[in-house]
Amino acid sequence: MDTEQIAEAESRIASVMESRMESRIASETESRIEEIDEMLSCFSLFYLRPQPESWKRLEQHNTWQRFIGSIQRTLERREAFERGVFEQFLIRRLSGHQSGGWSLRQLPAETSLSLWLRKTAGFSLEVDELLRAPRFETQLDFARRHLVGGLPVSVLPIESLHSRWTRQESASLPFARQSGLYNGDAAAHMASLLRQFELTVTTDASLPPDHLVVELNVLGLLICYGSVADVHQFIDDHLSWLPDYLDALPGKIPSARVFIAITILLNACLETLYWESLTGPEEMCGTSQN
Amino acid sequence: MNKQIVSRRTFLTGSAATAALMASGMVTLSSWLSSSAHAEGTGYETVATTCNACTNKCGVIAYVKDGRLWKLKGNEAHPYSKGTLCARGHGYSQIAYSADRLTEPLKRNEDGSYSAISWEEAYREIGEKVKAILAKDGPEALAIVEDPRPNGKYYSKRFINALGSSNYYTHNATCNLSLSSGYQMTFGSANFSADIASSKLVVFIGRSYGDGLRPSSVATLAKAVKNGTKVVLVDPRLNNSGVFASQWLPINPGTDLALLLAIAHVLVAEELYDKDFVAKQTTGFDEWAAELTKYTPEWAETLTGISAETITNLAKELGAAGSKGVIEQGWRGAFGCQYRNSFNAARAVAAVNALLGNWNKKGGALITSTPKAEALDEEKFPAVPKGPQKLGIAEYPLQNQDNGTNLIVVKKADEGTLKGVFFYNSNAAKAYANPQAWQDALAKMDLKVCIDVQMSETAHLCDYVLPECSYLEREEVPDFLGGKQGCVAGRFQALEKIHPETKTSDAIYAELAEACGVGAYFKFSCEELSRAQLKSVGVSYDELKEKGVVDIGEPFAYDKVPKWKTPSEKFEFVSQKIAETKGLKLYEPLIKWVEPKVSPDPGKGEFRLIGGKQSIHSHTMTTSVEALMSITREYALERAWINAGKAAELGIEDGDEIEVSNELFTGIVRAHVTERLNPTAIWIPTHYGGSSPELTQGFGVGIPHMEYVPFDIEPDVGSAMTHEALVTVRKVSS
Ligand code: SF4
Repeated sequence: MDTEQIAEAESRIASVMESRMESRIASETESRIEEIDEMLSCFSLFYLRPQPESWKRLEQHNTWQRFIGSIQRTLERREAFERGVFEQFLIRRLSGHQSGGWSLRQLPAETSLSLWLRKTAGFSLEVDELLRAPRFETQLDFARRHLVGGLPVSVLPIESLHSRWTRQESASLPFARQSGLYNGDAAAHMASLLRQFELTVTTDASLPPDHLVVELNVLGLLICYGSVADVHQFIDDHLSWLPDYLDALPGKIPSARVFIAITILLNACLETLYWESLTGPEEMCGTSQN
Repeated sequence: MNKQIVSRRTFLTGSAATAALMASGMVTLSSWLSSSAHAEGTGYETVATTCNACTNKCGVIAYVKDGRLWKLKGNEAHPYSKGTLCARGHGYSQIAYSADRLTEPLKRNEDGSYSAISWEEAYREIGEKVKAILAKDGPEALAIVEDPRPNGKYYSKRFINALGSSNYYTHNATCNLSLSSGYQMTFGSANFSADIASSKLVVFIGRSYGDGLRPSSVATLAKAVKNGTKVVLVDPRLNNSGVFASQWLPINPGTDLALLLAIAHVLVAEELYDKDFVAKQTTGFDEWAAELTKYTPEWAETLTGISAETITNLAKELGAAGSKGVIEQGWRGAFGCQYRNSFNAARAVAAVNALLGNWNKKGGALITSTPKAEALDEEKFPAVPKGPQKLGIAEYPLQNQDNGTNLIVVKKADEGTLKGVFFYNSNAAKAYANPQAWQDALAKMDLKVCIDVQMSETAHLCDYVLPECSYLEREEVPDFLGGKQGCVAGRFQALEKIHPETKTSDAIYAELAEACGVGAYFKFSCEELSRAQLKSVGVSYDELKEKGVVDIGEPFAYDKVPKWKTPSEKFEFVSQKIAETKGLKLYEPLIKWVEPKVSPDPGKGEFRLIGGKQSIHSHTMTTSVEALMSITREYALERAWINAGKAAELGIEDGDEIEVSNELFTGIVRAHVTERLNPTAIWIPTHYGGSSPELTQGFGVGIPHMEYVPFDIEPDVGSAMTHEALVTVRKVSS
């Protein structure tokens, strides 16, 4: 491929991307969207002080199975990326080849999340630890010890704590350019998005707008109603701090294995959604290319 | 897509338009940032409030942009800031957004960890424990300790009084208790202020404006020096006010009293004192003059390390300056609480000023008044009961009783008579006395409650930790200030609460009081109280809110004879109160030489460990601030100072790691080898050596001063004697 061809291929891929951006992720089946949305809601429950009602729902066998199933299905898509499907797609596009399409090899049924966690994250978890939801009391005790501010074992999932306080030049206080503070630009932008979309936070605990739970639920709504481009951009803008958060967990709360596992899974699911939103769901499934 | 998904959400509720709004596109972070940048410089809200990074509480104008703190400026109208804030004032504001902030009430678990509990649970459990202590041991078994701020001064005292106890204590036993007690015993007030702007000669003893007092004090000193005021520094360390000084006297620590007695000796012997003032305004002069004969400059030379000639010359210069010569009032400095003779050193400062006849004279020592709120409506603000005498007053009867000696909490808890303690805005267990002594004493108590914004070392020892919102998120009762012009300053809320489960201290106290069965004394809001207090002095709440500072009363007038609030209603060279007090262990009516408790033996390689502050920090409170700690790190400010000659003897070079140890503690820190320190001392900044892992910035930086200081109390007065500690030093071999 000479430079000209590459340039041409690049411009072609750009226009393809653009058209994909315009297509809404909602073009995937409604059930898949609802599944993602519900999955994000279930993830959310782990980052709040649990309420008996909602936790009881999560504990129900069906809900938990659906939740774990939806994680697994999302990760299967990720597996596809990991096997180079995405790269193949790009290479074909860049080299001007029409895609011949591909089909995803389904993961063997026995591939458990525990195995996946061990393989990808080097995180060893007893196989049955994710077979059912943690008990309400366990989660409550965890939340009371760790989802609270100001302790060395605090793991409040708040974006501003993992990003620069502000990028705005006019802020003249000595901490303005620091990271690790509450109420940074992340919170201010999230607050403006909530206003833009006429959304109100309605959990019992009042959450800052850049709390992971608010962000996951805005993402869920964007997947339902927004454009693929916005989904992608939102993950870029507001969820790219999650790997940093995840990295800090083993040092801070080494024994909270289920919480760490859930966060690893959430991170992996978000990465998958991020790439999905870049390419559009149809490419992922290969359906539109057949 | 149907509307169902939006409405079934547990976490977010949308409007009818949400789906359509989402479909029509999102304002991305980068476009939001650039539109925000375009709007820069516009749309600030300003709030006049006060700084909280140190006791001064300078007036601040907070600029708030979209609800966030954007910049701070000193309030021109405030007498302490006069338009300028110090580095701490700017840096500490990050506490509002700090990750170290406490966000919910915490209860200590059996393993020493903490779990969040609801306010209701916390109040109920604390209330039950308080009631149990009251029933079994009575109100004297409860105490409160704080580093006072306007709300604390009112609410902490009112809360403990409402419970029937008088045991209200501030940090002052580790600050200026000896000084204020000594002043009360000579001229009847807790402090005075040197009129530096108009002085010819000012002697600073251990106090350094250049190491971060008030922005306005530094400006006044700089201006005075420019206009010809001569400044003499008496300090074992050439501190950062050295730039203003024409002479540095590197005194042996703990001997300031000897220097002052020798100065007084020369003034009297050479008849350089103000005879008219002495005759009309003082008592006990002849007796003291007789005592002074033994305190010759030669005698003082052997103790202070300052030549008799230098002492004589300084005394003569002071005598020549007359009422325009002044010994600056100090605060913590060298005789606030440091030595077993600090109380007498303070009395000697006042007495030398009396010999100069400079009281209320231009360029002299001024006793200004502080306005205060008049009595308020009894129905709305009912008077709290008068409890039994505050613990500690019987044992330490010469103390300034307003603030008490907090060290009695350690003593009485250790003896098992004090059962419950509340801490507000106070890291007592780290900074007020030996931390191990605090820890052991607190372990014996039934109830320990801490109200704070962050998890201090003291919070760590408490059963319950109640989170206050930061000073930028709260309003407080008015702060009445004395000085040449009395005024009132206001702290008003600049930011919305950042953590919804935090509360203002007035709310915490009112709710705690309710839980403890004394809620009837707190049936008013902070704003109602402020309005009533201000009205009583003829100031409008709204005006204060707008301006931040409002003047009260007439300006100070020179040459008026002070109102001496002593038993004799005169300045007392011989104290009547001391003469009347039975059972004293150390101090006498006359101002005499008193040996410090310990003295370093150079033969044993001993140094006296002394400490002091740095301009970028306030006690241990600001070591959690990244911007300030980065200055500490950049300039290695945590280093221990050692005299260059001594360092050479010990083979220590600048920057070497040294081990500083005594029987209580051993720590390793880098050395700052310098000519600027008296050879008998090791000097360390007192901010460092943090041991609370929650306060990530300060954890493990430097060595902790108070760990080296044995728990002990200045006889008769109650101070912590924070410089009565000896250490040895050795180079850590690599
Ligand atoms: S001196 Fe500095 S830290 Fe203290 S109140 Fe003033 S500005 Fe704040």
